[in-house]
Amino acid sequence: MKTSMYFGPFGGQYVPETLIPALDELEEAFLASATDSSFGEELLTLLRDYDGRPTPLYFASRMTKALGGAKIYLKREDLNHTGAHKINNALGQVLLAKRMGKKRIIAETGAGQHGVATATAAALFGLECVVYMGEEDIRRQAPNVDRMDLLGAKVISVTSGTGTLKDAVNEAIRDWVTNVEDSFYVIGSVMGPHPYPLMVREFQKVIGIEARAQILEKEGRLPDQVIACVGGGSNAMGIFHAFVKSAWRRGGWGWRRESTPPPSPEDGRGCSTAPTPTCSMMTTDRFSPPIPSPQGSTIRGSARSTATSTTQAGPLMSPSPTTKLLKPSGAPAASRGSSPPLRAPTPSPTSTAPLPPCRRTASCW
Amino acid sequence: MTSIAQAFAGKKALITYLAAGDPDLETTAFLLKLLDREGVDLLEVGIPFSDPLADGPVIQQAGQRALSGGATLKKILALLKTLAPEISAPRVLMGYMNSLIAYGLEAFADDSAAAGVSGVIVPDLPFHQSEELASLLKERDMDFILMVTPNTTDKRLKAIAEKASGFLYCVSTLGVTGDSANAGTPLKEYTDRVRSITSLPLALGFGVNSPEKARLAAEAADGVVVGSALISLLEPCGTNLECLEKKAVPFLRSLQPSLQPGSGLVK
Ligand SMILES: Cc1ncc(COP(=O)(O)O)c(C=O)c1O
Repeated sequence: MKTSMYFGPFGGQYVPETLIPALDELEEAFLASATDSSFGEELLTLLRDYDGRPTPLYFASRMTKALGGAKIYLKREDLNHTGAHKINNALGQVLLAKRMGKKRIIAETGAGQHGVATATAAALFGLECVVYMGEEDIRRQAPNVDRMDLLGAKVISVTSGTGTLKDAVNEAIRDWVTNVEDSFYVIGSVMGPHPYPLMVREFQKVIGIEARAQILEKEGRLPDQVIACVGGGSNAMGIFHAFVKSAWRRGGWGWRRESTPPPSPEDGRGCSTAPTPTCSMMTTDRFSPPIPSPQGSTIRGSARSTATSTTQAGPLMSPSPTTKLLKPSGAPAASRGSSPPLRAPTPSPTSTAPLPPCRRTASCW
Repeated sequence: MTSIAQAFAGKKALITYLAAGDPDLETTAFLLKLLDREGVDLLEVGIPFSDPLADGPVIQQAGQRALSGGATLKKILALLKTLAPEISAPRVLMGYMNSLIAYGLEAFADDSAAAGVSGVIVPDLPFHQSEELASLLKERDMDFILMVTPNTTDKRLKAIAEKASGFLYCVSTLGVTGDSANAGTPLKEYTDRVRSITSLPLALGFGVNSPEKARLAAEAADGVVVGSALISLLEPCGTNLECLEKKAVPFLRSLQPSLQPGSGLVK
């Protein structure tokens, strides 16, 4: 490995040995692409002419008025081709796959946004595309299934495990293990084994680069807070990345997690990205927070919509010992007028608890 | 000589895999004793996990049955401890890293040693991240068994062989457990390549589901692992011990001749 696989104590590669040569090959190709100006130009052209970037930064005047606090701007990632930020990453990865000479694209999808984006990118490059989707998600998201079908992708219903996103990831990885020589696995968020978290963030950071320039142009200053929803964390890392350095210069930065229903180990359901300071990992990288289960097995998320039902957020989204954790506001979203500013961290008792089993050792996990 | 080295001494080793607790731990106890009595040389005991990436549908479902039946690593270790005096074949635990982290690596190493476990296999822990577990096991005289695959490069194979002990688990195909399709590389060519790099005993596994497949694997390697085929065979019996015995015994006896010298190339 030529780059660090870790974000604080999180990250790494927890996959079967069969995938190691593929991950090495991918890392090499990705790093080469990062310094290859022809790759950068081709991707930029696609993002502009095919996807429709830059997306606008829109001043939401009525929302600003209704909430009565901060001026609110929306970074309109919904205006990308296919309707979400997922295409930024899908175009980057499929372009890389094409340059690596891969013939077949594999993806997992939850709500179907990443599946649609990947099917679109694969169709654009004339590559075969197979998308794994939980059977329950297929039922809930029929229009996206139809779209993938129209784009020529084969959608495979996943019935193993809980029949949702995490199982779709597992099946996609099993497919990849079996077809590792000619297939490229396009992961849809900043998750999975190294180099995926790093690579997906690199392909998504365009969101923050644009947003930063746009807010400077409109307001002549940087925002007090940048807010994103987190499934695996790709749109969040995509927008946060460009702001993190400036936040440091302004006296530090931190995360504040606002979670949907709190994890409830008792009834076997937990919120996917809940602030549980226990260190654990899914089977492909080591990241926090997990849905609590004393045995280390994962249990399904409780999020009602599919998009946020990843089991855990990716390693970049995990609170490392050096990350400041800000207190969740605890207020319902609609009345959150005066949430604490980003640079005044009030650590919450749970989120500052030590991360017990997760030490950084010589072997670095 | 360690108990694992003994399992490979002078003969081709028959290795079986069962998911512990499928469908309950009493049945597992019965089966482990039965397998031992029937001359199985090494017993792989699987720790059930919700997301077993290296496993095909048969072992996934076995794991689900075990989890639904309430199997936990703690209970599995307690069972192995009780069984230790009654079983002569060495026991090797096979489980995913999440289960081990949730248990605590050091506690896992301590309790495995106390339960008489001879070695540990973690299919989703590539060797470059295994330093901590490997040394915890070594300190307690347990073997750390690593996997290699047909696409593992020679350079990496060398590095893996240096870390591994006990035996090398040679995954026969690019695929998951239970896949009976072949890797494309002839088995013998694959194991010859591995042998040119290490003197550890080699066990071939993934997809061995018939005496004929076992014979081919035994020709190429020093041991043969049978998992999904055994689990599928026994699954309909549930917890019916008589049924389990009736199915397991003839199956194991059908495999044994494939491992005898003379059935193919002698080691
Ligand atoms: C529109 C949209 N936003 C957000 C997400 C959450 O993913 P991430 O956290 O990686 O941005 C998804 C996931 O499917 C999505 O479809």
